[in-house]
Amino acid sequence: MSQNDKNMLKWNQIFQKILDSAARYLMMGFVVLFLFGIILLITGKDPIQSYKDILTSTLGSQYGFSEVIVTMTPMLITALAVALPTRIGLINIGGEGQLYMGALLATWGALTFETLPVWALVPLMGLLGIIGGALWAFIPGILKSLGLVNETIATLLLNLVAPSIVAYFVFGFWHSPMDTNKTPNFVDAAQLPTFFNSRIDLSFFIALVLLAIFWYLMKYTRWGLEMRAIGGNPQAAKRNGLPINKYWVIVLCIGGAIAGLAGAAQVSGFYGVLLVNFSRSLGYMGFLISWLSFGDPIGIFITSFVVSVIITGGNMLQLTIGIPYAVINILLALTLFVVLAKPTFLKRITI
Amino acid sequence: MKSKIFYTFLAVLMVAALLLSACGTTDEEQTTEEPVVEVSETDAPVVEEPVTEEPAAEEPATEEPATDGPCLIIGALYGGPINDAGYNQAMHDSVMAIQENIDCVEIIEAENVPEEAGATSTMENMIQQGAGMIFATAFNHQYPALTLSQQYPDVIFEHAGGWEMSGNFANFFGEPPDTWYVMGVAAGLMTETNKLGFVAAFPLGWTNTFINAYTLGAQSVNPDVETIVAFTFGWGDSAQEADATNSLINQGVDVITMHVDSPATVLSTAESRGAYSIGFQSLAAQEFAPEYWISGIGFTLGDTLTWLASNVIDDSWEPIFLRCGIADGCMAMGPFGPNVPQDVQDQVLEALAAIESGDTVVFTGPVVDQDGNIVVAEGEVLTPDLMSSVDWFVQGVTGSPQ
Repeated sequence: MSQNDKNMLKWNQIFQKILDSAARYLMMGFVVLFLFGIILLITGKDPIQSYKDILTSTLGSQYGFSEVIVTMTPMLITALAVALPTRIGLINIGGEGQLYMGALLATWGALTFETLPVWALVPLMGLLGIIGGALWAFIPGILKSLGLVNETIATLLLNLVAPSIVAYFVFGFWHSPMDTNKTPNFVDAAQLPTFFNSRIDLSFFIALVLLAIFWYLMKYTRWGLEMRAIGGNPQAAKRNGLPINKYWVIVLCIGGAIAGLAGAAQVSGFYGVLLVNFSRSLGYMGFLISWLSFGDPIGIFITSFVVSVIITGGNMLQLTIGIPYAVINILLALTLFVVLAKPTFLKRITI
Repeated sequence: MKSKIFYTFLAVLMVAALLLSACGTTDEEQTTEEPVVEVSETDAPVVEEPVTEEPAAEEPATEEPATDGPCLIIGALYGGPINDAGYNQAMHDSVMAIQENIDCVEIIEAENVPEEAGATSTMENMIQQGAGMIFATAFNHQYPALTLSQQYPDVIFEHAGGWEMSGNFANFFGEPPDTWYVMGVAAGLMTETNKLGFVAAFPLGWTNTFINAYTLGAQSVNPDVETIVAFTFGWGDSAQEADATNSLINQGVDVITMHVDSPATVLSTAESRGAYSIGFQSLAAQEFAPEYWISGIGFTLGDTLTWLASNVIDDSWEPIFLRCGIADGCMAMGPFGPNVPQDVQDQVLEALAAIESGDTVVFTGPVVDQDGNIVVAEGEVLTPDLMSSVDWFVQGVTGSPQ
């Protein structure tokens, strides 16, 4: 076969793949819209109008679009925090806890070094967030490498601990009687710069860079290869002389560091204050997104985008047609449900 | 593959959780007609089924360039579900009263709005829908609303219970402390074990004030009374609330009250254990304690909000720090329960009359805290602006105010 033919074949395959995934996503989208339409009809609303509202409020206006980006930013990062350990066969459900610990340390930085200028304070908070998340992930990592506890269970259980630690610090040390469940507001220097006259902040670009690095690392470096080898068959990798215990600990720590960075970005960029329950399941959302997209960077981007459109557009429905908040939750749950119910729709997309 | 099964199982669990959390369906809410979407004006009016609560408010969809459009669009946001029989329902009812009183206003609402920066986009969307006035009713909506008020100087913002003020940002609230004193009188008369239980969300300045007023009221008729406080650290954590209620009753408490968003859990738990209860936030709470209900207090801010809205409509709105008590109709006391003897009812009403006439002022010095320090000196009175930052409990309260 000539080189040319090979190229043709390759392009054909890629084209076929794109067509396939487009068909799959469209199909799933259609099923979801149909099912949710029935629910809307039952509650007495006009489904067509609702969908139009969702689209115009998110993709149809500059502000709406920027809000979609704002919503998807933390999900991108937390999804990455799950996708990376998945490559070496580790299941990190601990994104939520690592997020909280990152936010906790970043908050400590923001409240302690209030007088620093923005170019010093923001990177410091980012660094503290990374440390917080990494330390929190180190616990299950070391337990796993010692062969004591499965990392799935350990990360999941640590999720329950982290918010309590945050609550302890907020109520114990950073609390005034004027506030309920949050710290004092951060100084301006502790807040991430925003862009485009919207709430899109620096963390969105950090998320994109991280995704790109992740993709590059996996595809073109030795580490990526080794990690995939361990993920594919740890025993074989071990016999080939790969230090799999070391890899487990380090990769889980990096995953935790990424989630911790998301936490720091949330308190520094989005909130500008630490709320005790600020996350609203961002860590779990990241886990779902990573799973739905099989850890594929482009898949992560698309899935978080779709989820964010549903969340922001769904909230808009409350205002435009006055459906209760609970119904919007149903839409999101339906989306995930349809995707789960038909796994064959989503064959593995290799990068 | 094992991990795959794991993943699937977990994912299904999470979806189930999402679905479950969506289960508490809200009753149909009549809010707005046609959304004023900038891009496309739809021709057909949106399906708007005749509504359960107020058919009178039905108005033609404003699809044409509105000559008879709404005179004011009001955006209202709540931190929790509006059918919680508690704070959010009380606020929702108060906001809907505007619609009843002023025909030409249009109200758009959002419930379960996240706190702090999470609320910004909801308010922003309301403003883009044409809202000229925003009621931000959750405690932690104050700062996002304040930030937006600087961006939109033409929109009037009213926050429930806050303290920040600016040219187009002000706040309103009822004055619960006085009514808590009256409730304390009722509790002090009804208790047999001399132990009162108070389930509270956070050690917040206002909450501490309520607990203090309640205890002082109880002590005024029953000097031996003790109030035990249990914090849940969440405005809407039902499991914690049930736990706290049960453990209070296990400690011998026989009258329970609360300061959380929804009184439903605490009241029904107390009812099932046969403990008396006192409601707060919304008078709708009584249904959860048909037998052991003593009485309750609720926010009835409908007239106040109507007045504020009418001021906005005729351009006479001024930023004022608005607080109004039971004498002004901003708070109301619920009916007595079936087990409350007549003489108790009389004494409670007497205490209420004394509050309304000003004969009783709750925090008149000397007030002594748990450690015996004098926190309000002889001849002085605790002023409302200090009540929001109270970090002490009066003598007779068991629990930590921080």
